[in-house]
Amino acid sequence: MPLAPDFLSDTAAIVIGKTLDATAARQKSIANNIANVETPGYKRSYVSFEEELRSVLSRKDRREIQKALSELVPVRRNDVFSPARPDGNNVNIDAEIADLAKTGLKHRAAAVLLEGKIAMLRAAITEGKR
Amino acid sequence: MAISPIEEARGIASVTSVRRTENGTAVGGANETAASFKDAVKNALGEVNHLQNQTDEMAMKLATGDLEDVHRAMIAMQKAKLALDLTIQVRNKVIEAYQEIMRMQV
Amino acid sequence: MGSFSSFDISASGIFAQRVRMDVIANNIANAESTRAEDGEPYRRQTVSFRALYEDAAGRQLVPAGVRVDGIFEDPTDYRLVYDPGHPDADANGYVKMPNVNVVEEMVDMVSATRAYEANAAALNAAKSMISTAIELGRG
Repeated sequence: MPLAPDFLSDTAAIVIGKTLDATAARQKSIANNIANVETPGYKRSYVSFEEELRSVLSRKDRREIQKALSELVPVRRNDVFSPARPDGNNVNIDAEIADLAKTGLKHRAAAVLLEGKIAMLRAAITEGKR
Repeated sequence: MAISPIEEARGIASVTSVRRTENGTAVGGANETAASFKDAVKNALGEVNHLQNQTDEMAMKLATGDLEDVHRAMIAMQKAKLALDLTIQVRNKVIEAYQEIMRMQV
Repeated sequence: MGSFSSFDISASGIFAQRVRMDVIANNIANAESTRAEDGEPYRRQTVSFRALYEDAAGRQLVPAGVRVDGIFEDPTDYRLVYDPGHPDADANGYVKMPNVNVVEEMVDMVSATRAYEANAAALNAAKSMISTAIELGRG
């Protein structure tokens, strides 16, 4: 009997999975920025992911892409360059709120796309019957 | 992605589209129409595959931030889903019809 | 993963802003109190915050929200107001009034309210993400 195939292991599924990771990490970083909006000396942090992903996907060799993709993780960085208030805090609460909304929507879009892939696999397996 | 082959449908074809040649023998029929059934399904699956690839590409562009219009990715996905569902349903109906015919007493 | 810890972070922010709002409200309520508990005029209070970190599996520190370090008294001088008729006026007719500037306190209150609401929004966003993740397991 043939072994079960490795479902959701195609590049797109992996990318969507990583996007879910990244948006969750980003939401947490935004939450921390918002919690510390009044903390003297606090510098905002952010999560970088999209640029690294873009550079991984633009490689030529498919195996290289797969390997680099498997090692790709969202990275939290400190933003020390944004202008700060007199107490040293550089959190811009309006920007954080906007980012929060954007991140939430991106997370949901990724989840819906993943659900779609799962639904199509399931339809093929069950031949469209419940 | 594998959907079971549709060769069984060959049986239906043998009942239809049989031509009569000048000297009265029957030609055409089974092989020709079965081939076209198989091709039709193969083409449909090819189209489904193409739509799924397109969806995947849009999903990845959404992930990198290169696609701003989320609705385009969603519409692409729905197209792929619909195409797949249609293909599966048609394939099921054809098999059903074949099985019904085979049950008929001649 | 970090999904649930995001709740803790936002909860710490909500708590911190609550404390701040309470302190500001107290300042406003006592803006004219020339006799506080110790007999002296009321002294403006401020809240001090500090970023919180925690050990993640022994490796580097991860941000874990905010901590209220304490409530402190504002050391700036009392305001001197000329009001000879006031029961607490000194020999020259001046009254020492609390070092509270009500307008500033109102501005602070607005900003504390906004920060409170932003933390609540972040909490909801975390909840929403976890919900979405759970839905992936259905269907």
